[in-house]
Amino acid sequence: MSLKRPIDYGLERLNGLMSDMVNLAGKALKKSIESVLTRVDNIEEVRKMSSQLLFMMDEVGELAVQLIARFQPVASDLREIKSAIQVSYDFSRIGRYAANISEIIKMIPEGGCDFTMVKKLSDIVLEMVEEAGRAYLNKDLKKAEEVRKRDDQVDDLYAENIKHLIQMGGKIDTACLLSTALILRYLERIADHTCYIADSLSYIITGRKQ
Amino acid sequence: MNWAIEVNNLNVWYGDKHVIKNVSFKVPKNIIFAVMGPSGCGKSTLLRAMNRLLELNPYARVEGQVKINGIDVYSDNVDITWVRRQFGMVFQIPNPFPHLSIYENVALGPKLNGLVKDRSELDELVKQALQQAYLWDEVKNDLKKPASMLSGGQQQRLCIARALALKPKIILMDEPTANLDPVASSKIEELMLELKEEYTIIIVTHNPQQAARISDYVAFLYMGELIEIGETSMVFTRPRNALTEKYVVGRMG
Repeated sequence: MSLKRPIDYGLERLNGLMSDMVNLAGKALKKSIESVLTRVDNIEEVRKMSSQLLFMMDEVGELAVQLIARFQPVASDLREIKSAIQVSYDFSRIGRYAANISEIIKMIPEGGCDFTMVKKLSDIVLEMVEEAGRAYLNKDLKKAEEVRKRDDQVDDLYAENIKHLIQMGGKIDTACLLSTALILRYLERIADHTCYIADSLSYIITGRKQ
Repeated sequence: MNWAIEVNNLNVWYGDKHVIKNVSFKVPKNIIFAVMGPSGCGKSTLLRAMNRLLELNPYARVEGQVKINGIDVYSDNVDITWVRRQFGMVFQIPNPFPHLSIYENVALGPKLNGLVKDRSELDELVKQALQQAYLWDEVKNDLKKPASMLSGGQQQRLCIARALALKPKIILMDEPTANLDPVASSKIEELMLELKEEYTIIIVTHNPQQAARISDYVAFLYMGELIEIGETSMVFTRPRNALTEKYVVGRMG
């Protein structure tokens, strides 16, 4: 077994932080979806998670700068540090969108809305967030590729659902229509961020952007 | 392209030991070209093969070509003095002539090689070389004092001035900062960046960070083989070879 390099201790800390972000972002999204589907008010809880993710993103940035200053990393070390900064931003954005989704509960009318479309898309996106996180932490290029492929599915589903909502204009409650459209939009953006995470992983491993 | 130096299928043996294995590369003019690799990989040998300094070692045998302006320095009809004049060389341990004055250290080469007609021309050449080595301001009032009074970093710059006084085309540097403190090392590095405007510099270093800081192109040598060569920015962000990756991130050995 070889000795650890001094930078390895810092990289381990960085990965620990990233792992916490992966878990928290997934949890925040799950809670926010649960919030709108079951109409249980989780706004404060998800908002706190979102703030924590933002705080962790700063921590990742701070640690990354320290590692660059102290160890002058190159090659895969440098790519990993650069990507951690980017990926931590992606997870903080996912947290922010989760907070936005949870806030939609305030728009939902007394009688509730039909969120079948939301449920279908959120199931896919939630899985993408978890898979992108796992792919990143385990440096699994194959899984990252799967995430990218699923984004095409999300884009198609999103376009199809929005088209359907436009056709339904005037036939369903406006608040429901708007809430559904907004949640779909947030989910579609979250899916984009999982793709950016997959791209960052490709960059770490191959040195090339996807 | 007009290359400063072309190395073709270079092989070096020390006795039976094959230490440089079929190495080929080309160095563009006016750049800093770094050769990096772990201790014993053949970096210094490669450098010494370029200016035929290896011939001083009776156990060394060289095969292949080293071309300057299309002329192979190993051709039978090439004059060894001409070869040595194409190169200035700076070594790991500053090696000025300690008992000679600062002035004489720089003046000796041009005098012996008949590069100057008279004293005033020699004075001008010494001044110019010391200025180019960014040493003039520090020693202009002490030119007659022995070189041994200078600090390590100043002695190394004096050695650079001594090399420059012979108007070489290429400057070979063998770990020129290995024995210097960080401040003196930075000065040498800054000086190299200035000098590349006029010369081509080939530096051997076992410090990859130094290669990353100052070189334009870098070659990675391992056990006598050229593993990778490329633009420094590429080699240090996405090396093509797994061995290079291991070396630059410090996972080798």
